Amino acid sequence: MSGASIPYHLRPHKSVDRRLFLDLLTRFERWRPLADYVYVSMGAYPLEDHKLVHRHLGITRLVAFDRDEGIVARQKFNKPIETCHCLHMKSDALISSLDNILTDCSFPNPAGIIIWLDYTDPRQIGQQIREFESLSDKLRAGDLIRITVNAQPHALLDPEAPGRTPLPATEKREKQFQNLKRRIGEFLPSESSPDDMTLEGLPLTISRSFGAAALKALPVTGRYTFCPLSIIRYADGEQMLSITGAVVAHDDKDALLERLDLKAWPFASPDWSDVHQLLVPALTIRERLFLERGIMNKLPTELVSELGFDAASDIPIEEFLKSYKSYYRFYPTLLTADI
Amino acid sequence: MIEDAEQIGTAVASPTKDFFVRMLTRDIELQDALLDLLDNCVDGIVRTGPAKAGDPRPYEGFKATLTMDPEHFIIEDNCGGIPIEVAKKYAFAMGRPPAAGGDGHGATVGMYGIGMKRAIFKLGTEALVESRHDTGFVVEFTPDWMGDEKWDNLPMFGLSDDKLIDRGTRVEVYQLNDEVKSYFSDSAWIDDFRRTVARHYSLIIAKGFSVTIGSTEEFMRNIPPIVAAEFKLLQTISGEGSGNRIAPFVYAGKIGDVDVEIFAGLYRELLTEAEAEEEEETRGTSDDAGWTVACNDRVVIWKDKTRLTGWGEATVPNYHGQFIAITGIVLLRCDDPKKLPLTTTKRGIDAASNVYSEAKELMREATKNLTSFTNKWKKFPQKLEEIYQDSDYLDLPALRSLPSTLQMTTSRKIDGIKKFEPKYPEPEQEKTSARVSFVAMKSDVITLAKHFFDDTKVKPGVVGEAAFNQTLKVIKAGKK
Repeated sequence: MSGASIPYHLRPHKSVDRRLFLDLLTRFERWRPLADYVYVSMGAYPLEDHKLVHRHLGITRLVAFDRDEGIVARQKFNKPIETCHCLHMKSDALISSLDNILTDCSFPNPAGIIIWLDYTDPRQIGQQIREFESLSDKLRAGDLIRITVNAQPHALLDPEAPGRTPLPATEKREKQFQNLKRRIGEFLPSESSPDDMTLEGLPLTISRSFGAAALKALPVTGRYTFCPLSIIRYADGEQMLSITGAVVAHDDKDALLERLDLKAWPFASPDWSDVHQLLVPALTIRERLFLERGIMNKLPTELVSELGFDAASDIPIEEFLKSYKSYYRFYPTLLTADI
Repeated sequence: MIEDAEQIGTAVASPTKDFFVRMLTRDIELQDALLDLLDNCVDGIVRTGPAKAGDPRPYEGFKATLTMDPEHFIIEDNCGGIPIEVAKKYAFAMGRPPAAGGDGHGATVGMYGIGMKRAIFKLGTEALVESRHDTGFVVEFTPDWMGDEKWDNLPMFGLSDDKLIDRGTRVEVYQLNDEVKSYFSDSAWIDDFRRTVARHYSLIIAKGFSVTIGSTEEFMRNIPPIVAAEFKLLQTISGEGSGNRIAPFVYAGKIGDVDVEIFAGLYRELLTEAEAEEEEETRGTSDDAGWTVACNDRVVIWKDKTRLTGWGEATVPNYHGQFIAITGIVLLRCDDPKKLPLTTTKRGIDAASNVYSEAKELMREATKNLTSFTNKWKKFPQKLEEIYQDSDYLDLPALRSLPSTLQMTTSRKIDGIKKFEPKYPEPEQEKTSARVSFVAMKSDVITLAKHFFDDTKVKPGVVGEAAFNQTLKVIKAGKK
């Protein structure tokens, strides 16, 4: 089941990932205030992230877009404020005429841009990485880019016909690798191989490929560089990879990282190879409150024994607790309500 | 010649060192300067002679490692080292003195005698060159020497016995230039350089040479040697008795003193209709199309799609997305590298060279045939799958063995070249069918999609075809 077909409020990983993004933006304000930035994102029909950046950061210059006219109509109904422009547009068109679009939305010369390209189609990874390359080339120092792409090895192959004997793992990985190579060959890390077509290896390979694309857009000897800030993989259904980073002058990179104090932030990725895994099982409220109270001072083994079970929604509790410690503040509490 | 006037002095005409250091290095990119150092390693193997002709992996056991850090750079090899007499007389001179003669020792790529010096100048201002072939030695470049106007000879010292025992060369550069420091601090740049080596050294690595490149930290993690980028072409067995099939175009023989081998064909299946449509919008697939040219195994042009390799010249169309499956390789080989169309940076080619312009005629011949094949099938994409049945890939060693097994014919154009030009399958419908394509309102397409398939997601082309067939059926039935 692809992420897009799961109702939005039932995607706890995406929800936490979005909250972490917001936390990173809050940290970024130590470097530059974001209130006068333009926020551009697909946003889907609920415009959840637009609402969040508006409420928490005070950003009022909002742009949402989608290739589907029906979704854009729904966005227009759901937009949090009047200055949120909802455009019927594909991402490549948005990137190639970004400046004109901002002018048309009456946001000329903003203090900066935050742009989130939330891709879903694994077959289009080639276009996606090239769009990222051409976007990086258009931005200025202080602008932020966030990219979400599919990083599920199975998604690199067409589904097997029902009833057919499944391919042996080595053959499958070889085919997956050939497909990936065909799509993004020139960006692939030099030592990548079919052995990387795993849940852990693929996100790393894709992340480093984005690093190579960033280098092509912003060469070492140019004024600016793309500095990755946070790279996270998570799975509500299919595994996704989200990469957030900033365009910054070469000379300012160290100062930026120091000001943001990313060393102290558990999901920081100063390098393209630092991919963090986010594990968010669906917890009951009782479980959540129990864990929240104990997480800082008890050992994971103690918590597991007190819980009396060691896995929730197929996720081993001990493994999940390692990452939960870093993000429990953002765990979404979903309540059913009669309105 | 002035004969009557009295000479009153001399005017300085010798080049300044500053000119060499600045100008020479400005014309070369760092990656190419580093490749020059690698070329020296391979030339070392060829020159010292253990590599036998005919051996499929003549470079087995030879290796080079390049360590890149913001503070220093090291390249070390076990490729035979520099003989002490060569070091004393030529190796550190600017350019190869005529007394050194031609290389005369087999198919090398070094010919100008500037590679190592230019690379050192490009990298930094302090360097040590250690080498052992017969007597081991160390030559030192100091910042003072680099900054001085004079061309003093460089000091040479003995090398301690425990160093470079396998016979090889080690170049260490410190005080790196600022630009070089920023390159070497960027792991993505280092990986990009690895990809460059994987391409430009693909034939040499495939012959057994091992190259490992990384930062000190990456070496501590045991980074593996570079894997060569591959070159392969598709072939099918002949179908339907026509004898027509997909197979490589092969040209082999001699142009002057240069051995020439050319292979061209398809490296992947042609684009499907949907893929072709997407390619029109934006480039979605990685592009391995184009011509590769190698001189004495060193790749100097990688997957080129410009006039340099014949695209858009004579009757060959310009390259565009539809030709994404077409690729070819040209192997030029000569024991005297001066006869090869090499440039000093070894990236690109001396297009004015006679050998290359004759080779290019053959390349164009192959490209033209392959573009015609692609164009013919463009109209009948749905039948494409049939032509790939029983297909497999030929790698470079398999391709190189083709001239001895195929029925080659003599080229009328160029003496000394034999060729094999396969007949590719042709769409039968070409004579009987026409392509229908038109634009319609989306809402109308949906109406028809519901009518014919009860499914609004069916592709417009399929809907159009159904509507066409339905109308035709009605008309034909009416006539009866």
